Amino acid sequence: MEIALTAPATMEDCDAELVRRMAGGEEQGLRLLFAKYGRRPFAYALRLTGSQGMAEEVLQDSLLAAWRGAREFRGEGRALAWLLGIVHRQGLNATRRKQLPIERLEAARGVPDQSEDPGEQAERNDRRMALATALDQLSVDHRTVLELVFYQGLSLNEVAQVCSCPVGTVKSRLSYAKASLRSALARAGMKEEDLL
Amino acid sequence: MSCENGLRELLPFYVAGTLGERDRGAVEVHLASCAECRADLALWNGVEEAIIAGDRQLPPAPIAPLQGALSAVMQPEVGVAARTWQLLCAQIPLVQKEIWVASGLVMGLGFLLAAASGGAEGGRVLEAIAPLVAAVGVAMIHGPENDPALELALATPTSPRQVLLSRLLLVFGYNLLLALAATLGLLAVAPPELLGMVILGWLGPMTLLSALALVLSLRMGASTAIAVGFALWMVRWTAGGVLGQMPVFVGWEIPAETLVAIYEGFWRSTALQMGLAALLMAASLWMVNRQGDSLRRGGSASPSS
Repeated sequence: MEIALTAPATMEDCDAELVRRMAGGEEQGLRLLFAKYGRRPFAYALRLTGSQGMAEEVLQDSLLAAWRGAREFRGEGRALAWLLGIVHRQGLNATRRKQLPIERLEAARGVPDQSEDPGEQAERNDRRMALATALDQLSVDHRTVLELVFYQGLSLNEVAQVCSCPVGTVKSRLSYAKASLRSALARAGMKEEDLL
Repeated sequence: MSCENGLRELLPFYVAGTLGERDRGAVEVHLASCAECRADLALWNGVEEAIIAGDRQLPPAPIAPLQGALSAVMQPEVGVAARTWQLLCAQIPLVQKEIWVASGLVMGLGFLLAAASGGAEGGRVLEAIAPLVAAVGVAMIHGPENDPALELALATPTSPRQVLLSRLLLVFGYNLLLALAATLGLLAVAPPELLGMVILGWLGPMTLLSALALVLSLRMGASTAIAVGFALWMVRWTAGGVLGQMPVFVGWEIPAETLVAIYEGFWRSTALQMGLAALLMAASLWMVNRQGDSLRRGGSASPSS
């Protein structure tokens, strides 16, 4: 259960300032960073590991690694991308170390919108189910890129930074994911027009 | 319309709302006239909806990881030397106590026998006993039959290789010190110039037999490893007498004398034995890692798994 943490002292606390405080040995910097971004790295760790327990371990290791590596953060870009890069490496190391197949969390099927026409609602749910199933079938590399773009809201350069790969590789993974999803939807008898 | 200008690659970021104003404007202008990109846009919109809907249902971040990180942050960082020392001290109670007592007793008796024999003969007594004592001890440092807490140990962050290396260092180091002490004790009854030869006489075989005992114990169990090591060592000391009685092996072209010379030459070549021991050691580290992974996956802890 998430416990509410003390809000930042001022809303102007920027990422660089938080990390600078961590580099200076101030534990409050780590608490504030967690308060600001805690949910998103945890969600990413869950997607990487597929396990609540392992995701908590990965998050703890990542926070510790962020603390120890705070001096190396140069303030170029958001701390979120920096933190997600740490989570990415820790998550992949954890799953490799335990040599477990990377479990995919079953994509949620969403909550029906009560204001919609029931018929339209059913169609919408069918489209969501088809896409969710198609997303579940993507490899970790391709799924994580989509997570970083659409849930974490990272730019192209930030995604490349997190995944420690060139920008071209990110574009290739997006392109491959698009082709895979398109094929999966076609097999399910759906077309892009159905998504409109 | 051609999409060669790379705008199609920006569509996911356009949907996610992370494009700068200039790129966003360019994409919107392009979409007005490109049906293919509009089709891609529909797909990416659906993907965003599915991903956000899925991730909204994920549980919130628990507080425990932050608390764990803060606890670790408050502890002073431990250097490599200190961590190694901690690991070694932690392994001492996990090594069978009989190893310390038995090795000490046998080497003590061996020293008394060597001292009674005196001179070069006393040195040969130590050369015969020390490698076997070390090999028996090393055969008993790993495996479920020797370590009831093995599965618990594998659940810790310390790798199986580190555990094996630290135990090997403790047991082999202990036996090495015992052999050195016994050899130095021979100074009372043997000329000093003999000591170097005596040490070289048991150091290579001790290293090789210990490495062989380790790899065999990982593969076949401690009992088999000890039996094989014992048999090999007995052959080493009796081969000359037995082979020397046979002028030539039936069906072989090589005379027995040559075979004996090659065999005894091998047991005198410290460098060759050390090299072979290094290879066997590498094999042991590889095997123990595989066994550790197998146990973590719920496999068997038996030596042959």
